[in-house]
Amino acid sequence: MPQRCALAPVALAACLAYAGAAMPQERGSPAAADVPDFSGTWMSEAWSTDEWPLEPPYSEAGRAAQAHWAANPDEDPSYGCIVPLGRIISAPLPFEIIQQNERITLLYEYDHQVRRVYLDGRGHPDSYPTLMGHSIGRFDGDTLVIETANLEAGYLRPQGMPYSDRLRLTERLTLLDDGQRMRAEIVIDDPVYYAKPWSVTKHYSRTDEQIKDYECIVREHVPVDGGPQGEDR
Amino acid sequence: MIRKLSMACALIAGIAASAQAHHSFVREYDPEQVVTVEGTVTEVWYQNPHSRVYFEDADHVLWEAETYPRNILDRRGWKHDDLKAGDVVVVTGRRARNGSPRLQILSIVRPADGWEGVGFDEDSID
Repeated sequence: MPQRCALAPVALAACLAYAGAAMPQERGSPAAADVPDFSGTWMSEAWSTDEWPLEPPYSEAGRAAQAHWAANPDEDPSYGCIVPLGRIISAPLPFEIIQQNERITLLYEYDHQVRRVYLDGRGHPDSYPTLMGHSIGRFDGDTLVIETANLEAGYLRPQGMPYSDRLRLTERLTLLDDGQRMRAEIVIDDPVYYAKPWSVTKHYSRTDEQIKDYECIVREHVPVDGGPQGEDR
Repeated sequence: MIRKLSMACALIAGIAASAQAHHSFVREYDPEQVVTVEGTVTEVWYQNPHSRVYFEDADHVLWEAETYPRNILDRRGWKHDDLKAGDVVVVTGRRARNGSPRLQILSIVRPADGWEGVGFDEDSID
């Protein structure tokens, strides 16, 4: 037994080292230790309408696209519970950030969406556009810069604000107040629908809120026999 | 047949003037037309992307009243089983622009016990 006791501290140290190496944040390399830690769950501090302009600098095509949206509500994919990145980032629902050396993962409550932000120096692939696009990131000092491309055309807001598949979205995330708050400067650079790049600044706070499931249901109300009770269709 | 006929009548009467399940509130509802209606709850749709309460007023008009997604209602204190069919509620809201009996909820109260639900802020444009 004495032998086993003598080995115990060694085993404990080995276990601790292993546990440290296996921690999801992978704080092993000096580079990772030097960057701020964005890990955790965040909630927007403001309702989205408080932060977004009512009149962004539309191009002529953008103004026409906005008018088309207003006249053709059925064409907005979010009305069918298909929610594009633009709507995800402007919604007042929480999201979780998981930070690793080579990748940052954003898990959104809104519509279960996931973004993988690659920090390993790769570029955007030559690929087809998608709802959430393709995101790469880098640290500029203490600021995490996320650039997203390969986005399907969509809308930024419940009030429309269309973007084309040439949108380049840049988000500059900076921690404030000892890491308890976060500022996001979001630059919308879409040469098709906007006359010039424009930006929105959002603020988030860390939250103890649990991320909830978000089941989006499209159904219409159908009265039965003219009475008040409805049924699903 | 009777059911189909009555459904058609209901549609013509605008009772089933249900809009898109998920939509822009400011486009659907007129901030200048705020009304208060009392009625008896017939259905509660506690769901995403928008929650709804159906209620019938004294003239037997069936109203559809919309508010936030359930994820937000739950966080703001309106739990999934708070409101039930049969409850009498007083709803203040913005009327649908197309004149159908639909409301964007600004406030919803159950006078029997003073319960208050969650509606939109008066200055909201969402």
